[in-house]
Formats: sequence, structure tokens, C-alpha cells
Amino acid sequence: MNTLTFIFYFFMLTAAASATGILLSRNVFKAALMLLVCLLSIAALYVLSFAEFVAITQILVYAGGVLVVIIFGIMLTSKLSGKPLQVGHTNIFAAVLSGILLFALLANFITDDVFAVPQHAVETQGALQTIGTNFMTAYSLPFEIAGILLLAALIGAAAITSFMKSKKV
Amino acid sequence: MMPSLQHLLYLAAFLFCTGLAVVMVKRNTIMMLLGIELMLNASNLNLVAFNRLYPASLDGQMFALFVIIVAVCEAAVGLAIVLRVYQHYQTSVPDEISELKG
Amino acid sequence: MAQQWNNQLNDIAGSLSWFIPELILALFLLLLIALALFKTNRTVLLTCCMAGFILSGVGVMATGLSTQATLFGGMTRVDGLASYLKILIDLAGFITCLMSFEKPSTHRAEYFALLMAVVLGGHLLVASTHFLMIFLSLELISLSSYVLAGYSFTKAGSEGSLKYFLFGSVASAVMLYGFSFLYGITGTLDFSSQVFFDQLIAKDVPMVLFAALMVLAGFLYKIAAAPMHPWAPDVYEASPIPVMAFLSVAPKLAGLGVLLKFVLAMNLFGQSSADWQAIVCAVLLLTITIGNFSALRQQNPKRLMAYSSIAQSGFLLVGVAAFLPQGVHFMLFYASVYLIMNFAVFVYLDFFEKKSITSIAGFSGAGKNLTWPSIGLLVGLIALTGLPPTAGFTAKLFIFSALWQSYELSGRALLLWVVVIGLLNTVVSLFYYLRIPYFAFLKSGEPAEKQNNITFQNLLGFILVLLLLTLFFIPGILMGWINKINFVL
Repeated sequence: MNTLTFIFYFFMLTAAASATGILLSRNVFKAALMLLVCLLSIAALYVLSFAEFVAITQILVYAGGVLVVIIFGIMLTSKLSGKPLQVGHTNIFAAVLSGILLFALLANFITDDVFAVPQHAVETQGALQTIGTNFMTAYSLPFEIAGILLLAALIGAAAITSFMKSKKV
Repeated sequence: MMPSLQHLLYLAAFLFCTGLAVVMVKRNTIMMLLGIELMLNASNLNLVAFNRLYPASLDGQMFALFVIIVAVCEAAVGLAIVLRVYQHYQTSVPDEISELKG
Repeated sequence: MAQQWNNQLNDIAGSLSWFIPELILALFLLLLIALALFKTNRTVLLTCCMAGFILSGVGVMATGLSTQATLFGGMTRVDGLASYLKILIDLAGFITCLMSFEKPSTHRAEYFALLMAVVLGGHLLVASTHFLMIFLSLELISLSSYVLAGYSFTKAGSEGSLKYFLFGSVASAVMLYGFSFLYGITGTLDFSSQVFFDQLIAKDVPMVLFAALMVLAGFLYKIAAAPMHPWAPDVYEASPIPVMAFLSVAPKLAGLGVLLKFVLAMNLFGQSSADWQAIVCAVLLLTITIGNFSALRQQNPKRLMAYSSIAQSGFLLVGVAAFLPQGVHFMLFYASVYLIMNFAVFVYLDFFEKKSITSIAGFSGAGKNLTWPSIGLLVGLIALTGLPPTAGFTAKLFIFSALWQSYELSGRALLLWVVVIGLLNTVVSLFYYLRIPYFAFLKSGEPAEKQNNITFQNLLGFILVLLLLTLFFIPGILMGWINKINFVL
């Protein structure tokens, strides 16, 4: 077993373990931190899958942005209520059972030969350059739409929160 | 030698199922949001992994980048909505929010 | 390399001329936000918003219904089906603006900007031939609708938008997971391409069907069809009536367009090992039955209309289930009539809500005091049931005749059952649709004071009702137009 393989399986295990931790944890804040661990391990897996740019975006935007927003949300809601961050569970049995069944089904499908390993070495020289040109050429339309999507999300979030301020609940 | 692509797919499937279970089990909206993020990440992992099967184009990686953008928007709008619900109900437990029935 | 870039950039520049309606919408979206900076009054914003919808609709019509072009290197495609649905979505936005005319609300500019964003998303969604475009435009519609659904800014409103958000995010995550597998199997994101087709024929694994069903779940959520419908009644009940009318038409038609394209692509011209006709039939039967039977025990007109809109999704899917070009034509006719009758009913419900009639029993005696609005509402509800002399009857007749034709061609007993159960459900729907008119005309309530009924709203409702009657007597004016669409995948 060489080092690369070891690192790969290490991060796979970390990701799986932290995801399980989110499911088991009853504390929202701890769950958010475990999501952070999970996101970072996934970023490492991206690097090992020749997707450096996606990995960097994952760390900057996902781990750095989304998670901070979520932690803000946790703090704001817990501050308002003054209650501890404990979370109750409902229909555990049904959820876990359906989760296991779904996983068994998916795993069964994935075993198919169609998803076998590519034997040839993957050559991704200049992937960053390709991504850059893609954004400006083949993916220019989605790029623009993503801009409008961000704008719409901004307007929406602002519309919701500005109303709260004016109402002074 | 690089580890098997299928192992990544198994991990993605595991994350997806865990995310779904989190959404079903947790009685807190922010926790449910974490579950949704897990599900989105499962899809992203799939996309990046599959891109290794088709190295000629970077379609999978491009899609993954856009998914990250969308996840940001979703988190922002979602938390704004959660905060507003909070203002009205003083709780983020969906079961305690029950003005609408039928 | 440089040559390739040059070609791609030329392709983008060439695509832009086909893309004028969407550019107009995006421009007006920015304009509305800019106007909001200057404390503009509502009328200006409203006019601006309506102008945007009209211009974009005119832009779509100018490109014509019979043209076809693949744009932006296979991201979207202009064709008759997409153009027609785009016009309907623009129209839905326009009528919603008219309905919002008298609604005082604090954040007008954002409201109109979000309406614009949903319409833009609808435009992009019906034209998409690329999984990424579907995902992005679906999210554009969803994120804007989450906010719009809570626009009453009440306790219930915030709850409605939270439920919509949670359900929607899970549905889109499931859909995305399905996309990722379809990409893994075929190696392309463009589902109208030859590669996609060839790869699916070559690699016929069970995962294809499972992934396709996951994607379908995302679309069914958007059109509020079973089994992805439970969000609809709560969300619709909590949102203001113009928003509710809009959400029950625009995203539904957009979702229907993309669902049709996707199902036809997955069907692989009948070469798929999965029986897509049976899948669509199962979904639509479930949707119609659940919608109708849940509507029977509703006391609130808004919830009743929510279940009605679920059932109507099922009837729209009949056009998909026929798997004939005729079915698509008749589905478009049904969609147009659905738009008119749905808005007609909502305009009148809005009118009655202003008179503080919010439960079905509250309509008692309304037929005497508010005769003309009650009659308008009656015509709208009769159209939704599918009875003559309204266009609702014509639309149901057409869409089931397409299915009947498909039955005669293929001889599948399943299709016969769909026709029979669909018609039985129409009878069931009679019981709940006509409950409001029953209370209004046959029960006596306390007489309210006579009021001036000639309001802007009633005029709008009257025009819509008139259209419903006209299309019954001369459906040819619309069908002639629809028949120009030569639909190919």
C-alpha cells in the first residue's frame, strides 16, 4: 500500500465518519463543525481525483462561505431563544431503515461494470486553463445565469430580512 | 496506482443516504439544511469522480463548480427564511410550526 | 486551439440574436432594481414590469413558432414547443402584474424583480437541452418562488415558504444526484445529443432507470404532481392570491415543458427497456386521484384550488402519456386554457377575499348580492371541471382524444384504463368545484350592502371568462396557431 492510497482511504473514512457524526449528533453546533470536517475531506478527495480547482473552490466557498453562514444562523437562532442547542430526533427507525435500503440499492447498482476504473492514466495538464476558457466559451450562458441566480438570491434574502427589521418583532 | 473510482461512488452514495436520513430524522431546520448540504456534496463527488471516466472534457468538474454556486444561494435564502420563521415562532423546530394543516 | 475558440465565440455571438426575449427579461430585472433606488411609485414599477413581459412575449412571437435552432453550443434550443410555452409564461407574469395592481405591499420593487426572475427561469427551463441549464434555471425559479411564497409576511406565510424551501431543496438535491449518474453513464450533459442516445442504448443498466426516476422526481416537484405534491396545499394557502395564481401556472408550465423533453429523450424513440408510457400513466393517475379526492373535504377555497391545481397537473400529463405529436399539441391547448381558467378563478377569489369571504360556507348568498362576480366564478369553475359551454370541456375532450388515438394505435389496455379513470375523476371533481357556486346561489346568507361591482378586477375576470367561452365555440383560432408547431426531439 503506497502513501497515496493510504491518504485516499484516510480521507474517505474521515468523510464517512463525520457524515455519520452529523446524523448521530444532537448538538447543532457540533454537527456544523463535523460538516466542516466532511467538506474538507471531500476537498482532499477532489485533489486526488485531479480536480484541484474544484477542491480550492470547495474550501473557499463551501467551507469558508456556506458554513460560516450556517454557523451565523445557528448563533442567531440560539441567541434569540436562549435554549441550548440540543436537537430532538423523530422517526429514527424509519429514516435509518430507508437510508440503509437506499444505500444497498445504490451500492448494488454501482457494482456494475459500467462504473469500472479507467485503466489509462488520466492526463489533465492545464485543467485550470481549460476551466477558465470553458467559463468564457462553452459555459458562458450558465455562467451568466449563475450571475442572475446570485442576484435573485440576494434580492430574495434582502426582501425577507429587510421586512423583519421594519417590523421590529 | 490510483484507488478505484467505484470506492468514490460508494462514498457518495453513503453521503447521499446519510444526508437524506439527517433531513428525515432531525427536528431542527438548520440541521436539515446540513443534511441537504451533504446530499449536494454527494452529487458533486459523483460528478468529479465520473469526470475521470471522460477526461477529454471537463463537463463534470464544471457542473460541480456550478453546484457549489447554487449551494451558496440556497444556503443564503434558506437561512433568511429560517430567521424569519424564527421571528414569528421563536423556534426552528418544524413540528412546532403548525399554522397550516390539512 | 485559437481557431476552436474563435468558432465558439462566433457561435455565442450568433446565438444572441435568438436570445433577445431572455435578454429583455434580464434587462428589465436590472431596471426594476435600479428604479427601486429612486423611491419610484408603484405604478411606474408595475408598468415597467408589464412592459418587460409584453416585450419579451413579442420577442418570442417575432422569432416564430416554426423555427428551430440550437444555441450556445447545445445549452438551449429554440423550438416551437419552447416558444409557445414561453409566451404562456410571459402571459402568466403579465396577468399576475394586473392582479397585483391593487395589492398594497411594502416591498414592491423586489416583488416585481422576483416575478421577473421566475419568468426568466421559466424561459430558460423550457428551452434547456443541457442538464446544467436545467439545474440552474430550476434553481432560479425555485429560489425566487420560495421568497414570493412568503410575500404575505405573516406567520403562516413564513411557514409556507419554509416548507416550500425544505421540500424544494431536497427535491433538487435528489434530481442533481440523478443527473450525476446519467452523466457518469453517458459521458455527456447534453440530453438531446446523439452521444447521449447512443450511450444509453449501449449501456442498458438498471441505474439508468433509477437515475431517470430521481430526475423525474425533481420535475414532478416543480409541477406539483404526486408523489411530490404534499408541499402545494400549505404553500398555496399561505401565499397571497396573485402569487398563488402565478405559482400554480408559470413554474408548472415550465416544469411540464422540460419533463416532456426529458421523458421523450429517456424513451429513446421506444428503444428504452423501461416502459416510460406506463410510468407517466401511473404518475398521472395517482396525481389526478389524490388531487381530486383530497379536494373533496376542503373547507378553504385556497386549499381547494391547491388540490385542484394538483389534479390539473395530472390532466396536463395526459398529453405527455399519449407519446404522439398530437398529444403535445393538445397538451399545449390544455395548458393555454388552464392558464386562462385558473387565473379567472383566482381573480374572482381575490375579489371575494377582499369582501372577507375566506371559507366555502362564507359564499352563502353571494349569488344574490354579488351576482356578476359569482357568475364569473361559476364559469371559471365549470371550465376547470371540464363541462360545456367552456373551453375547459374542449381542452379535456382534445387531450383525451389524443390518448384514445394512442390507444387505437398501440392497443394497450393501460391507456384505455387511463381514459376511463380520468373521465371518472372528472365526475368526482364536479362535486367539489361546484360546491362554491352551490353555496353562492342556492344557500341564502345575510344580505350584504350593494356595492359597485364594476372594478378593475371584475373587468379582468370578465375578459378571461369571455375568452373561455370564445375558445369553446371557436377553438380553431388557437389550435390553428398551435398546429404550426412541428415538434421533434
